[in-house]
Amino acid sequence: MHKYIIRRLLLTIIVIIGVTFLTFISIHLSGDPTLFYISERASREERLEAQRRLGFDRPLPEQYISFLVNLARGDTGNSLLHRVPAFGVVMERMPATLELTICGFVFSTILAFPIGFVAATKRGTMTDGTLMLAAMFGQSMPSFWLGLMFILFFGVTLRWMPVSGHVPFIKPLLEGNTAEAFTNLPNALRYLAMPVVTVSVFSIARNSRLIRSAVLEVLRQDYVVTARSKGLSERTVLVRHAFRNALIPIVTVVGLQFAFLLSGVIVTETVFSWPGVGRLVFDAINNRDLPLVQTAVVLLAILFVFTNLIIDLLYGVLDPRIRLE
Amino acid sequence: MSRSRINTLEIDQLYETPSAARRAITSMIEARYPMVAVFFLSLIALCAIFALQIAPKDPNRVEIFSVLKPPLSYDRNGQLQHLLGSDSTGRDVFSRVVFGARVSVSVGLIAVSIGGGAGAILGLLAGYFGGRVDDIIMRLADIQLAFPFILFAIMVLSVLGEGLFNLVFVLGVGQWVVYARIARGETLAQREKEYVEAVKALGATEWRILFRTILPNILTPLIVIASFNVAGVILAEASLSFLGLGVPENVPTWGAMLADSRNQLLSGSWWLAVFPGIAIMLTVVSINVLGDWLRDFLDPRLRGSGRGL
Repeated sequence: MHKYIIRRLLLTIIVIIGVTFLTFISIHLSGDPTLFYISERASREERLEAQRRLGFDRPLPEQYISFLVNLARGDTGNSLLHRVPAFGVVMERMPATLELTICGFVFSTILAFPIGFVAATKRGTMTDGTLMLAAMFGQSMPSFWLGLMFILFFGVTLRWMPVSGHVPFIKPLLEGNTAEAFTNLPNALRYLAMPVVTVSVFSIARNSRLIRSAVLEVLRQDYVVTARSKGLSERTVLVRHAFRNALIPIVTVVGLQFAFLLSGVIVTETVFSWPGVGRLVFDAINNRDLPLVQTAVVLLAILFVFTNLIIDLLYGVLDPRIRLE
Repeated sequence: MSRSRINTLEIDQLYETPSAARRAITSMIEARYPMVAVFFLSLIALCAIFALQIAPKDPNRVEIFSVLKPPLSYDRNGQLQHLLGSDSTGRDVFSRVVFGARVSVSVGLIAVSIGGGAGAILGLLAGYFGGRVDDIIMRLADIQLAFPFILFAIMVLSVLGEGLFNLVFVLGVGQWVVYARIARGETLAQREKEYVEAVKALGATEWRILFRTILPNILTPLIVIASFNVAGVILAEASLSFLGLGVPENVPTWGAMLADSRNQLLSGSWWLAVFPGIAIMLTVVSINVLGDWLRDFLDPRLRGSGRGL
């Protein structure tokens, strides 16, 4: 088990090297990044000077190696645009993105489970049909379009909801201002509502469909038939026999959805002008702000690999038959 | 067939089995929804193919005297001017939606063919040869999986520049991992079967074993994934266009129309945001419904395996 975790952590390092290498290559392929940081009329000398200042004058392999060495030391370098440590810039925006993803994750999981369960246990009824049709549509619309529709309907027409903006909650909490965080909470939730639904609609739809089929699959198994024929109540059969066994395929998807949420975050942050990491990375790429892009990418990759690790460990907890070697 | 020759293998030949095509149509009619989906998709395919004939106007024609006209607006002579309204530069929304079908459909189909083809072949090689080949291909897959697709796409597109070809390329590259993983798993299972052994014993080349013997037997799950994947790619294309990374300004796409609509939202020009979104949704719903049906029809065991990406 420990061996397994250690191997997975080593794999993380390989993944981070691969991911940063890809980033490094593609930013440099797009031409000299210095050009974004000097005036168009800069002379040759000025350009060389800027290259030296930004560290782009060294041979590419040397640049990349020194980046890795610094990364291992925990130094991600300065953002070219903001001229402060890139790590700080990303962390400054991380709380807003975490608010969005965590709320999205919780919201979609809370909704998808009952929907999937109800649809599976009432298979073939009107309820099942309606829920699954709704899920089909939820899965098939661009989430940002739903966001636009929300803005149009609840923001512009009814004027119930703010169309953009953000009230921080996690950030004051992390800084120790608990009182401020909780006075902010009602407003923070108000601003969160539409972006959270937008970012999670796809997950809700997809997961409830998958949960439904996972439950149906389990209900077909012999041990469920046995449990029923023993005369156990339907409730006991569902909760004690079906639920736990249906969880394994479900955990896979629910875990993977974290990656989906991260991708959804960029578009959602764009729709609602949300001050998060997604938007930051997007702008950083457009400005060829290599240190900033690298830092954000590394952090996202770590987040992703760790969620995957947690999922794999959960398998063993849910089903003792699964042994991780 | 004489009675004496009946054995267990021939028993199902006693019943007349309808052809695959007929069974497909019957099952589709029974399921109802797939028929509706086929209807919508034919409509969209017609729009994509005959966009020039169907669209009443040039989708890029700017008319500064009829900007932001609501749907069903008529001109002074009582002639229908804009069926679905016009945008902030007076371009006809209906014509743009019709032309948008072209980009969405072709991008979806081509990207899935590229990604699916490459992924299937790589997965086949990884599963068949194992060892070093398997390691390299699957580690590449891990790296790509750890990299949120949208970041990858933004990065590559900002490097290569916008353009239809680059967009298709990025979307294609983004898809290979799913196919590779499935093809690898299936190949691992098939590799040990007797029929492969038999072909090997007959002295078939590796090429033949891979592509003529194993590939046809692992195709079903790949086709099912591909059908959902077309829907996923269309959504991804819309997202990228929405972020302004898709195709050049003069190519009308549904995603780009939605991006434009964002600036007019607060002034209440709802038609700019509503219609392209409905077009995307109906297309994707139809493909997903058809994919569901295809999965159940081809291989009910796959139920619940979900979509790719």
